[in-house]
Amino acid sequence: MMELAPHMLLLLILIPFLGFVFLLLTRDNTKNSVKNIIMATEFAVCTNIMLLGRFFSQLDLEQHGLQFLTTYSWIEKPKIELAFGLDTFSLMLILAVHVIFLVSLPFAVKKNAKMLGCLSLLMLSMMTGFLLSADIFSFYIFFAIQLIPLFLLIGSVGEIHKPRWVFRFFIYNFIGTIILFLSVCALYYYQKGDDIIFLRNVARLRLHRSQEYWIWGGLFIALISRIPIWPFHYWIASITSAIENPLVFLQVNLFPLTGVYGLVRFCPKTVPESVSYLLIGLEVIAAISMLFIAMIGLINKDNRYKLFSFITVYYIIYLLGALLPTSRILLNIGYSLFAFLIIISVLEVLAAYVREEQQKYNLHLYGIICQTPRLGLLYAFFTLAAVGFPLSALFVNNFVILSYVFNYNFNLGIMMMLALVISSASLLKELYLLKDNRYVQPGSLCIMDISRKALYGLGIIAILLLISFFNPLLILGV
Amino acid sequence: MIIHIFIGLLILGLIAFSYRGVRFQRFFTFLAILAVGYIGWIFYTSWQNNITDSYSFLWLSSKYYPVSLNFFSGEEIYKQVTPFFIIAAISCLFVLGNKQERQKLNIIALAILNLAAIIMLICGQNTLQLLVATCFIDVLGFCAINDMTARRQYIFYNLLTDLGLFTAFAMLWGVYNTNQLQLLADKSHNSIPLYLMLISAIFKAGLFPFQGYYLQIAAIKDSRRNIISFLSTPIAGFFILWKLIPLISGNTICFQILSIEVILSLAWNLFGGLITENLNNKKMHINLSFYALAFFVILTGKEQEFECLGKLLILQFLLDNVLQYGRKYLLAQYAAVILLISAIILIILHSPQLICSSYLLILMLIAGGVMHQIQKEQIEEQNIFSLILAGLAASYFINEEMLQSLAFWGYLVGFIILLTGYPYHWLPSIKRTSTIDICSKWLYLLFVAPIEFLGRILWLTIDFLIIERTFLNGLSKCCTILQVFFERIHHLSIRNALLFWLLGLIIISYCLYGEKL
Repeated sequence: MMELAPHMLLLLILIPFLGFVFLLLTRDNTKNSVKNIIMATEFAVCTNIMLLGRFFSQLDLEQHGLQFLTTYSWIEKPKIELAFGLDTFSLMLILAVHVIFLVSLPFAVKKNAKMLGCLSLLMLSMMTGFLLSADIFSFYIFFAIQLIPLFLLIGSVGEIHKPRWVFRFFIYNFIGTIILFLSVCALYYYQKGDDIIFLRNVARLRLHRSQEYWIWGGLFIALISRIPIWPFHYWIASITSAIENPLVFLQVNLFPLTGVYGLVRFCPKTVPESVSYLLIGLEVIAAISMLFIAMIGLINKDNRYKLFSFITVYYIIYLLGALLPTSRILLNIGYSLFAFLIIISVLEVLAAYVREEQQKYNLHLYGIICQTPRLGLLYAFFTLAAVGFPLSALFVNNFVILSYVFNYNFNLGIMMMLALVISSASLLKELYLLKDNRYVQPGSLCIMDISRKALYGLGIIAILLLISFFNPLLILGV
Repeated sequence: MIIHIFIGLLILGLIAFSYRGVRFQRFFTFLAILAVGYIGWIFYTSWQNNITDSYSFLWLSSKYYPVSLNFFSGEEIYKQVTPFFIIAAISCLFVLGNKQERQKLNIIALAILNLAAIIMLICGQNTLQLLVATCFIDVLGFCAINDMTARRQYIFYNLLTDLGLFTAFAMLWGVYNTNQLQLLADKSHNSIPLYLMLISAIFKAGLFPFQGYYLQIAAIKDSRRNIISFLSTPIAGFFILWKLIPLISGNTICFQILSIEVILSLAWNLFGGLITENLNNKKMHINLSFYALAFFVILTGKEQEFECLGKLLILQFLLDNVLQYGRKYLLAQYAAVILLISAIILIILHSPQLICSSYLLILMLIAGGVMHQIQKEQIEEQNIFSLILAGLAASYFINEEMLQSLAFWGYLVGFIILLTGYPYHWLPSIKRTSTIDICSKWLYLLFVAPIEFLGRILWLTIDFLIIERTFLNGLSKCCTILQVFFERIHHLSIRNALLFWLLGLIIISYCLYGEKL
C-alpha cells in the first residue's frame, strides 16, 4: 500500500480554496457562466471526495486518536505551531459535508451564481480545515474564519428580508468567537511551555482552580454559542426560517456542527473535577432546549422551521451522546451524523424545490406533491429515513447512542426520546400536509415534478443510505 | 435452507417492486406467482424432509455491541411460517384475477416482501432483529396503503410504536449490555421498558382502544387490505408480544393490563362485527378480534390452542375474501360460505380447543349476519373466484367423517336459519359509524393536543414575548439610547467640550492617584 505524502492533508483544505480563487477570477456575464460555475464547484468537491477516499483506504480503523498528524510552524516567537490530523469520525463528517455541497449545489444556483459558488467553496475549505484541526490555534482560526463567508452568504444569497436578523446572527456568533479567542490565549499563556497544545491535551493541562473555571467556562460558552441552545436559539432560528436558498440554509445549519464537534474534540470525559458541574448544567440546558425546540417545531407551520427544529434536536442528541463518560460511541455518533447530514440535505433540497414551485404557480401547500410521483417518492423515503425507520445508518447507531444514554442517565434518555418522537412527528406531519390529496381536484393546476436526472441523482443517494444501514463504511469500500 | 428461502423471497420481491412499467403486468405477475409457488414448494419439501439448519449474519462486529441476524429452521418455525406462505400465495392469486387492480406486480411484491419480513421476525432471537423486521413491515405497510387519511394514521401510530420499542430495547441493552431475548428473559426488569413494549405491541395489534387506524384501512382496496390485515403490522404486533412474553410475564401489572386489554378487545370487536352495518368495518372488526383471540391464547399458555391459531388465521382469511369477492355474486358466495362454515363446524366438532371453538361459533354467527345483509342486495352474477375459493375450502376441510356426522347437518341447518335473518332481529340497531372518530379524538386529546398546546404556549411566551419583545427589544432600545447619547456629546458645543475635558481629567486623575484612592 502506498504511503500518503505528508502534505496531502493540507490539500483537502487547499483544493476548495483554489476553487474559490478560480471562481473569483472568472467572469459571470457570459452565456454559460452559471453552468461553468456549477461545474467548477462540483469539480473541486468531487476531487476532494476522491482524495477523501484515498485517506479512507489508508486509515487504520482500529487505532484511537488522530492519524496522519502534520504540523506547520507559524510564528517562531512566541512559538505557535498549527497541527492537522484526522480519524474516522472527522473523515466521515468531512465526507458528509462534501456530499451536502454536491447534492444541494445544482438545486441552489439560481441567481448570484458566482457569489454563491465562491463563498460556498470558501466555506467548504474553512469547514474542512476546522474538522482537520488538531491544535487549539488551528481550531480557533478555522472556528472564527467560517463566520465571514457564512455572513456574506446569508447577506448576499440568503434572500433575508430583515437585515437586522443577519447582524444579530453575526454579533452573537462573533461574541462567541471572541470568548474562544480569550480562552485560547489564556490556555497558551498558562501552559508555560513551547509545546504545541493538541486539542486532546487541553483537559490534561494543570491549571489553578480559578483558571480552570474561567478557561473551561469560556470554552463551553464559545462552543455552545454555535448550537441553538435555549434561550439563545432565536438568533439562528430566525435566520434559518427566512433563508430561501437550500445551500445557504444547509450551510447555516452546518454551523452548529462546529460547536458539537468542538465539544467532542475537547474530550469532556477528562474534564477537570472542578468544572465538571458545568457539564451537568450543560446537559440540563441541552435537554430543555431539545424538548422546547421540538415542541415549537411541531406547532410551527413553516417547513424550514420544522427542519431546523429537527436538525437542532439531533445535534443536541449527538452533543449529549458525546458528553457521556465513554468514548465507545464516538464512532456511532460519526456514522449517525454522516447519514443524518445527508438526509437533511436532500430533505431541504426537496423542500426548497416545493417552495419555489409553490411560489411560481401561487398554489397552496396542501397536497402539492400529490401529482408529482418522483418528488413524492423521494420525499417519503427521506422523511421515513429521517424519522428513524431502518433505511440508513441513523437507525442502528442512534439505537446504540440511546442505549448508552439510558445506561448513564435514565431521565435524560427519556427526554431525548420524547424530543425525538415530537420532532419526527413534526416531519411526518409536514409530509402528509404536502401529500394530502383531499385538497387537490383532478385536473387542477399542479407543480412540475423533478427531472428524471434529479431523480436518478437523489436515487443514488438513497441507495447509498440503504447501504449505510448495513455498514456505513461499505460505501467507501472499506 | 430458511436463509435461502428468505433471500429468494427478498430478491423476488425487490425485483417485482422495482418494475414500474404498465405493459406485461399480468405476465410478470404470473411469473412472480410461479416463483412464489416454487419457493413455497422448496419450503414444503424442506419441512417434509425435516431439514434443520441455522445461519447467523454478523451485522455489527463491534466488541461492545455485537449484533447478528439469525435464521434457523425447525419444526416450530415451519409450522409458524406455513399459514403466511398460504395466505401470501392466495393473496397473489387474487391480485392476478382482480381486473380493477392496475399495479398487480407492485402488490404482489409487497406480499412477498412482507412474507420475507415475517420469516425474519419469527426467526428473531435478539431485540434488534425484531425491531428491524417490524420496521421493515411498517414501511411495506406504508407502501401498500393508498388512501391518504388511512396512511397518515397508520404511519403515525406505527412510528409511535416503533419508537416505543426502540426506547424499550435501548433501555434493556443499556442496562444489561445484551440484546439476546433468552438472556434478557432471565433478568429482572425495570417496569418502564416492559410497559413500553406492552403498549407498543397493543398499538401494533390494534387492541382496544387503538383499533381506529385499522378501521380506516378497512376502506382501501381488497388486495391491499389483505396484505395489511393478514401479512403485516398486526402479525408483527402478535409475534413481538409472543417473543416478549417471557420478559413481560414476570410483571403482574403488565399481565393484568394485557388481560384486560384482550378481553375488552375481544368483546368490542366481536360486538362490532355483529352490529356494524358497513361490511368493510365489520370484516376489520372480525380480523381484529382474531388478534385479540391470539393474545388471549398466549395468555392462557395452552399449546393445543396455540397450534390451532394458524388454521384459524387461514380460515379467517378465506372467509374475509369470500365475503368480499362474493359480495356481488350471491350464488357462488353462498356455496363458498357454506363450505367454510362447514369447515368451522368440523373444527368445532373434532377439536378439544375450547377457546378457538367458541370463537369459531361467534364467527359463524357473524358470517350468517353478513350473508343476511348481503342478501338484501339484488345482484346476480357469477364469479369464478368464489367458486375457486369454495373448492379450496372444500378440498382442505371436508371429509367423509364430517358428512356422516349428524351434528354437522344440525349446524348446517342452523346456519341456513341464520341466513334467513330472523335471529338478528333482536340485535340493537346502533349506528356505530363514529367509533373511529371517538377513539382517534380521545387519543389526540390525550397525547397530541397537550404537546401542541405546550409548544404554542412556549413559543408565545418565551420566543415571542420574552426573547423577541422583551430581551431583544430591550437590547435594541439600550443601543438606541447609547447611540443618541454619543451623538449628543459629539455635537459641536461648549457644553460637550467641557464634558470631554472633565472626562479626560478624571481619567488622568485616576491614573495618577488611583492607587492611593
